Amino acid sequence: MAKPETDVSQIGREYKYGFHTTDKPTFSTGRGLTREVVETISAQKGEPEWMLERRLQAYEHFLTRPVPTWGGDLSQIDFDSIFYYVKPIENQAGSWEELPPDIKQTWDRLGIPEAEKKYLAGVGAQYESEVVYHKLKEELTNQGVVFLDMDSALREHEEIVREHFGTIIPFRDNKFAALNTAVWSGGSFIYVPPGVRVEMPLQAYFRINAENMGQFERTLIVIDENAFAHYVEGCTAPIYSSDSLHAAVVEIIVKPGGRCRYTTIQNWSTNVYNLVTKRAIAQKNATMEWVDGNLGSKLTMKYPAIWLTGEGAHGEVLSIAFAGPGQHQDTGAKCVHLAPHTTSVITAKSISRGGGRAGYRGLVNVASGARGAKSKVVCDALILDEESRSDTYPTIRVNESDSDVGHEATVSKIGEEQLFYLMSRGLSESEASSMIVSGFVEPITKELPLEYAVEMNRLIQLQMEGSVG
Amino acid sequence: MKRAAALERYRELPLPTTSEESWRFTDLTGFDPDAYELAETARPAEIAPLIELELAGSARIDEGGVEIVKAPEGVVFAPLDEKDERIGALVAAEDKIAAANAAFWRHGLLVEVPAGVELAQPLHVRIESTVANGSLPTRLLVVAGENSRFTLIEEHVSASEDLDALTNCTVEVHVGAGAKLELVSVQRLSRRGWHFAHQRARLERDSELDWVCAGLGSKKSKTWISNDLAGVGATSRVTGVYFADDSQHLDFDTFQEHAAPHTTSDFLFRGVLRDQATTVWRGMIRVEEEARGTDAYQENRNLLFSRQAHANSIPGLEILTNDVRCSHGATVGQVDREQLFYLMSRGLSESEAERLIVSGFFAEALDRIEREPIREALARALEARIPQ
Repeated sequence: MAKPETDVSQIGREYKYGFHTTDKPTFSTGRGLTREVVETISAQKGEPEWMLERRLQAYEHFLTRPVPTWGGDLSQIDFDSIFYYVKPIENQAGSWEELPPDIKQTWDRLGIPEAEKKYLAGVGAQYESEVVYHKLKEELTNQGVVFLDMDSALREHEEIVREHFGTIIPFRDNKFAALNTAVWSGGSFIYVPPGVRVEMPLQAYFRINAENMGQFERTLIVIDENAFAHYVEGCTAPIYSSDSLHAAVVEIIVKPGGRCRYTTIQNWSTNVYNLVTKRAIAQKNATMEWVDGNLGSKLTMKYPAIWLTGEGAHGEVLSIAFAGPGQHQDTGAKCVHLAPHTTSVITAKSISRGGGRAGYRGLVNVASGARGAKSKVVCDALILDEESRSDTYPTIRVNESDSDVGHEATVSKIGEEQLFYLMSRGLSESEASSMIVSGFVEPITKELPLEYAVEMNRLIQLQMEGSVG
Repeated sequence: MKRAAALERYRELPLPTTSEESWRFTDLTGFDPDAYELAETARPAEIAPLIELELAGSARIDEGGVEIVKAPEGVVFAPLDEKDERIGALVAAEDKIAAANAAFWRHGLLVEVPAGVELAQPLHVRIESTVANGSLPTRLLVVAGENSRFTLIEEHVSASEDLDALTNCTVEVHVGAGAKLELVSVQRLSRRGWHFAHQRARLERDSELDWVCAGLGSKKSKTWISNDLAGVGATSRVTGVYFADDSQHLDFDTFQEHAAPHTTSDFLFRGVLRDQATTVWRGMIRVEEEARGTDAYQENRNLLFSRQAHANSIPGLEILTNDVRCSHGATVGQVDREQLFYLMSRGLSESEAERLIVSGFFAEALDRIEREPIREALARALEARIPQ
């Protein structure tokens, strides 16, 4: 075991990705949101009429929906000061060298081109509103795998997009889903044909560079019968004194026998509101897995959902939330059992320190007729100091007696006995605390591919960086 | 809160809808509080007692008033004076139901046990709903003086099994420093009426509250059970049992508020559902910043005997400091068919086997009740719900 070199008290104090560059965008709709902004975005993209209509309907709905008053405090979001669409460059690049130096430098500093060389099957890189770089390994293209940014997908595969877009998350789902539908730009589209297994992960990286930016990517993943893909997304942003908004929508369909794993390492700077709707449908004997790591942002409200619609479908959510000073992680999961013999497991871990607030908010719903459904939810929280807060709000609804649903949660501080034991073995208090935290999150990190486990550990270590101890 | 202010609040507030978090799973559609009239006189009724016990004191409340059947010695056990300053200290008019009670309550009982007094035998109050289409808003104020020790049984009953009536009871309980109070709340109303109860206890330093709640009756009901652990070292234990069948809808809304250091709470609720019954159990443990050394637990387990029964379980934790040990568990599961089959293969009929499983399921909760006659009476009442 590597000896931890860091101090728990420093968690959340260091943010390595807070830099920004001063590149000039080629186009921007300016601050604020109007009907014209929505029309302009659509026109810029040369979209089909149906998509513009959908955007406008969603925009009207967005206006009528009140800002939610549950979860985190959303009252400080200034919808009029946000840039809803910023186009950083004219054309998407197929190689990193084609990018303007400023933007290329950003990706280099984030280590994306290097990662692509080593262990990724495909990469999409979104900068502000547009995906500026996209590439998929040739052998996958030959197998019929489609991995594109959403705008290109709408042009090149309009029928598949039209068939599924907004069917899993209609714009009426919630205010931010409506906002996303109105102004969406970028995001990923993935189609994996029947029986094809994409063994190496497909990665998308989302970067906000400008101040008061609103990023609204839209992702649609269709895993066909008996196919498999692992999609990984990461996100960072510069530190500014005023806030940015990230409101994504992710829709996933896993067809019979298919499996999809979706891993998020969210590391927005602490001035980003992260309000994301993610939902997957798992059909007969399909498996959907969300691995959701939330380290950054000012406020995250995100509850990845799995609707188990086919008999024998399985859903799994691994969620980890880390809240440091000024952060509120309102995260969780939803599993809705709609078919017989469906199973789900939710494992959630949260850590709060320095006045941070981390929580689990979830739902397990077993519909009438979902005979033999089984669900297990386990939530554990660590609170590292007196100022911090932990919340657990699980909801269990069971409308089918032939089912088995359980929920357990614990909240505690670092055990004094554990600390004492480790210190008696020669570790300092901070080393011991750090080791306990690493052990606490291990059930999640061990589920990440090796490279991401390393990345996740590095992120946590970065946040713990400090000289005390 | 004065009646006039409560009345104004009652008129201002709309009936709660399912868009409000605490009413999400309890729909009041079809409930018209004005359809129930405040009755002045009760109809004579013969209601069999649930628990046979030697009592230190007993009282009856119905539409006609309060009757002190047996007055205990050395204890205030008397009709509640509406000028009592302590009314509303714990439950004011926070929602329409509480406001209705504060505005309209007619008859109430004050139970005040002075400091240091210990009662070997329980006190008992029975609230009897006897008038069809009648509304019976009542109020209990319980004050356990410092280092006092006693048991109070509070029972809600109907004059007949098919009585359609509205009952709304507010119970405020003050547990003084070092006092030990055992409180037993049994709701076995007719399965045709509406029932609401706001029950809140405040615990001072080193006090102990042992509260048993049984929910058996009503067509649709919502019962709030809140504990404020306000004094250092206070301990509360709440044991809930409920049985819902037919199209009954029972809602329990519990709250464990830890506001002082070194306080302990332990809530355990178990319920059985049959037919098309629905239950809601909500629980919240809140640990305030100053409540260091809190030990809090909540558990809700549901056993379903029917495919059409619906159980909702919403436990919750809000923890604002780190020196705590808090955990909760909730389960909803069907009766184990193998267990049932095994018992039947040993010669038991299906209803005998069910009864055995149900009594085993409730035993863990009921075993927490110290007084045997109370424990056995509740076990009998729960088992009696399994059809022969």
